[in-house]
Amino acid sequence: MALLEVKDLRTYFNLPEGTAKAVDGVSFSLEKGKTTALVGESGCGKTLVSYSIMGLVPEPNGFVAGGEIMFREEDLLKFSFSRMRSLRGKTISMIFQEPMTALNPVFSIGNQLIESLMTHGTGDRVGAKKRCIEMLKEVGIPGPDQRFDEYPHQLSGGMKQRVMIAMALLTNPDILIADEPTTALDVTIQAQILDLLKKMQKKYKTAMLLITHDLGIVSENADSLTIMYAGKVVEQGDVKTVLKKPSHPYTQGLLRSLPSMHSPGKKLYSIPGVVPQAINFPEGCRFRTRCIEAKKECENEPSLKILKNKVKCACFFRK
Amino acid sequence: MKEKLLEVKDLKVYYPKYKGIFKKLAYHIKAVNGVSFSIKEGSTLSLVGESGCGKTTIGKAIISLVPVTHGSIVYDGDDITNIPEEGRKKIAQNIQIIFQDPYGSLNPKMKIGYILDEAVRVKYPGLSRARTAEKTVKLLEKIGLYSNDYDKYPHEFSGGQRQRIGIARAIAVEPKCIICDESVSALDVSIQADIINLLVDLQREEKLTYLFIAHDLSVVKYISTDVAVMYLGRIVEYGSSDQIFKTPLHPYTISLMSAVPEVESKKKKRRIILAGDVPSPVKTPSGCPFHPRCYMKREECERIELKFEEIGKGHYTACPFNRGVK
Repeated sequence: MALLEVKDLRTYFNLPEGTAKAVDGVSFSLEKGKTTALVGESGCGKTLVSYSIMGLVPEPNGFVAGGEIMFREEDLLKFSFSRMRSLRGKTISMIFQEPMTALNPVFSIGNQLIESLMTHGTGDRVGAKKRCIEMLKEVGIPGPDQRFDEYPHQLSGGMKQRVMIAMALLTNPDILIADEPTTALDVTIQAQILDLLKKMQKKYKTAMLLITHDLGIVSENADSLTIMYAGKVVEQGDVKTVLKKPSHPYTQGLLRSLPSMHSPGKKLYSIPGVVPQAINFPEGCRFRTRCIEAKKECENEPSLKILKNKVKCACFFRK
Repeated sequence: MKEKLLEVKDLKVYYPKYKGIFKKLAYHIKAVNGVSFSIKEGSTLSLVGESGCGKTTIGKAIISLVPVTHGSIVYDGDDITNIPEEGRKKIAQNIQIIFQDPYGSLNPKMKIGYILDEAVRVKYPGLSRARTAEKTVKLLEKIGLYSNDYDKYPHEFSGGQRQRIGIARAIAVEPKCIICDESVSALDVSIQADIINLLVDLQREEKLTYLFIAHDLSVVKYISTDVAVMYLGRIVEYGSSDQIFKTPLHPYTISLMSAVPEVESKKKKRRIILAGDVPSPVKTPSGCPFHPRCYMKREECERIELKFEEIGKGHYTACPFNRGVK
């Protein structure tokens, strides 16, 4: 049973030039204790998917045009503002890419941690403080008692991301959305943070949506994988199967363009062209303008179908 | 081919920190603390390390953007350490830099053609406006853009294209050496591959020498001839790309490599997760600066005097203990 199910989500933007269909029919599900990865290049709409789940789509231009986000048999999209607010940060938490900008520089981290607990009405201030310090200790911050009163600028990037994780997990959320949680960090710190996230997930049985563009991270941390291109899902399935034998031409291109797949001296493979802008996505298969296998049929829209290897793929030429 | 096109000798860059109303010198931040290396003409040396290890500072010191405290930088036999501002045009003709952020390094109010014309004029000062524009258009075509991009503004381009413009500006003066400071880090995988290809092609055609500053090891492995691994302002391991990636010796290099997540891990690799952060360059740990985080730490590491020893041919390490499996 899926804990959260996103069905045919459509998030559009009204722009002077027309409507940008930034997310156009995306479906996937999150399961308890499992990690689902959402992968794609910048501008493919992956962050917007998470904003839609959290009810944070920038208004008034952005709006959810269709679809359902089912959570415990209720549609999150139908929730009132205040009901969504009580859910956000308590049942569904989010970790952002930039720990530097996600923390308020004029409040101590302790203050910000306690605020999250107090907002959701869990306990008194003294108890909350105790719980926060415990959590800081759990995410591996040395000397949590002193750190509690420090300000964001006194912490390093890795430490700040730990604070963000602590804040996200304070309320014991069922779902954790991690939007590029390690992109701004060094590899050694990235390894620490991913390790920490895994440990926490095991302990609290959180369902995690991991948004990233790094296929290496996906391979080592996720259970299932959804690959997006220009607002649509192009391939979806079990991580091992998809990465070992990618089906969609886009996934194949992405994997082939990784420098680690080439020996030095050989030319790197690259997908021709650039990601089209949301305002003028091509009709039919959105990848066809860059696809090496594109044919006449591609002007029609391909649907996600299940292939022999149980992977879902949106391409006419895959069986 | 010159054996040493660019040579850095015992480079030290200290940033002074002042305190109080009399601006009394309080302490120095030792950003670069005794680094030596040389680059062969037409090859690529990569500087690798975590943020704050001083790799960008080295790049800036080479083109005199930060004052050098100690040591010297020699380009093709000429000492180019701490050149005053008036003299910098001369280094700029030989050494150029491409920055990480293609958004931040192009003036948003200037047309691309104008930005590039300016660079062309450095190399060919007397040229008429039409001839300069002609050269610029050629440049645009060379890096994979079109002649009608001449009249566009930076915001009309995608990230990858903007990075191409950054590259065009660097090669406009026909330099011999280019410093690429995290030039592909901000790009998506598919675009990144394009830019790396462009850099490699340019190197082949123009016999360029690269100092490639990066933290992404898979890119470094692909592009480098030699690699220098830095930690807290010092080089801890130096060798050819093969030596570094096949037989890494310094525990820091080993843990750095084990931390990279890979799509295709053939064998179950042992992941070494380093504890803690990079210590601040203000108070470097005693002895081996890496000892507080090292997984091979011994008691004497806190006291030892660090030496840079040659182990294999051209393969140097600063760790006196790990010699690899023989």
